[in-house]
Amino acid sequence: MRLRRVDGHPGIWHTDLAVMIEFRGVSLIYPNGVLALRGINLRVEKGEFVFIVGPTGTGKSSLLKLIYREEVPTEGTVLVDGQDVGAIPEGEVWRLRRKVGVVFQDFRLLPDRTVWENIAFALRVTGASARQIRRRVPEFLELVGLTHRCDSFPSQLSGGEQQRTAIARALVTDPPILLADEPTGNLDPDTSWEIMQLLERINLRGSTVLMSTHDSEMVNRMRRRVVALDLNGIARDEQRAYYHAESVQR
Amino acid sequence: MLNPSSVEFLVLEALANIRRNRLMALAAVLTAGVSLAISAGFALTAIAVHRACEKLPQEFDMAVYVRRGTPPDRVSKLKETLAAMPGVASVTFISKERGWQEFKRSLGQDISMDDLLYNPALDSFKIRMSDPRRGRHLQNRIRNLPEVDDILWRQNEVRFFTGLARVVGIAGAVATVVLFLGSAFIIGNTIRLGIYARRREVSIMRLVGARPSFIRFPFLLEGMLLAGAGAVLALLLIRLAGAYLEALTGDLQSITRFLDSGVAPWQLAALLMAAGLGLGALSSYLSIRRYLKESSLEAAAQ
Repeated sequence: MRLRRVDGHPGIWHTDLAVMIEFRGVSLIYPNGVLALRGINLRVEKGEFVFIVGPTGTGKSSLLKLIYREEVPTEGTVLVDGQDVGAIPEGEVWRLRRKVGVVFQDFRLLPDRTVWENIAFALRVTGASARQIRRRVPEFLELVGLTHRCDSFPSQLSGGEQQRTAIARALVTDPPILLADEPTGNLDPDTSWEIMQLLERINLRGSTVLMSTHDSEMVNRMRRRVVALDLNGIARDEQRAYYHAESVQR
Repeated sequence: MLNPSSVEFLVLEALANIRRNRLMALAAVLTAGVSLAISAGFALTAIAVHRACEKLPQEFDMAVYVRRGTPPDRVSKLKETLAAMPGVASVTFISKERGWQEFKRSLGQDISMDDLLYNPALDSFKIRMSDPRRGRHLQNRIRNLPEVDDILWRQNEVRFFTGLARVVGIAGAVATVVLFLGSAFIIGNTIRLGIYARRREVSIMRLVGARPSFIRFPFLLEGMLLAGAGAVLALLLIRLAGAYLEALTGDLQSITRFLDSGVAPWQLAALLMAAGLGLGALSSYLSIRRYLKESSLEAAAQ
């Protein structure tokens, strides 16, 4: 293991050099002509926690979509774990998806399946054995604190519990990366904070976490790396930062 | 690649799909059954008519009349020559006496020809052709033999039935294919509706990295089950129609003798089942592939 000073940030050291995600001059223009991202250069190292912030329409979701190959860059290259994501043939995208867990603002649970079945679903469809399922589902139920709710259906859960279920489903297949697209957007502040703490715990277990958010209070409380987007691309990329640039000078 | 619990999961998913879309599944089985039955029924009829058209002219014999006054040894020599010609299945000698008797019998009792002073008939050969469609060819070869006086055969009828056989064959093949494609379209549509009903599941599968073949499998299985059930239904319908036709024609040998497709019941069952399963697999494969290509994760989650 080698220590390295993070560029432009005296006092902050990274102990692991593996680059998990890298954007090289990435632009994304949607077929309808909307410019979603412009000239993005970004490196996220293994085990980092990164907030993606910025006003609506500056491409936070698009940036995440490029990582799990829901979108392909119009220009530039996105590398995930050293692999050029845009060059993956359609039939091989599933391999990338197994490296990237994703949670959304709207949870996207299957309404006719219990919490247990929702989490087990990710294992079942990726070909896990019955034994693996019996072993791993309880483990992740416990991680997200839903062991007692495992037989409930999503409609019987609170928003926070639904998001916990979604997080467990995203992680149960052991992806090294977790992407959270405004995961607290539908939750009240207390619940949001609980989800935030859960994500932090997941990051401490070793996952690389990228989270887009509007919640300035939460970002300010966490003091982690913040990548701020505006219409011209990345406006700011700082370690241990605040939601707004001016907050730093406070 | 697949472990037992995956197989169980996939099969259960396919069955759950069918149960969830019971009405659509029923509609698909019925339409697949009826269209397969129509397409197979049409094919069988076409085959039977085609065969009849080919079989009928087999019985149109060629009559070769021997020039009057040909000595008997030359006549028997001629028989050998004719029998050796390609396209000749068998040769029967009909003496002028017998020919005359037959002719008189065919006229009936109304006209008496007993007072004719001599027998106007000629010795003749009845030739059974191995392929009446090549009768003209045979006729040309026989005509050049010095002992031959005249040749009679039903070349117009042969031409008619040969042409009819060809038309029925082509039309039957085209109609069968069109009807088959129609069934494929209907089953494909049912599968599409099934996919649409399960778009959330499909989108989660894609999100967490299920292989495309894994995503397709339950739908393929569903399509094959539906179309397979349709094939069974089609078989029943065809057997019913066949039984009805049999009751209708009864002992009418003149009809049943010709209207036989020559397709054994087990062959029909195997063909229909193969067609049904192929149809189900193909149409659902195309549907799900198209869906996976066109839709995004986002759209599917809504």
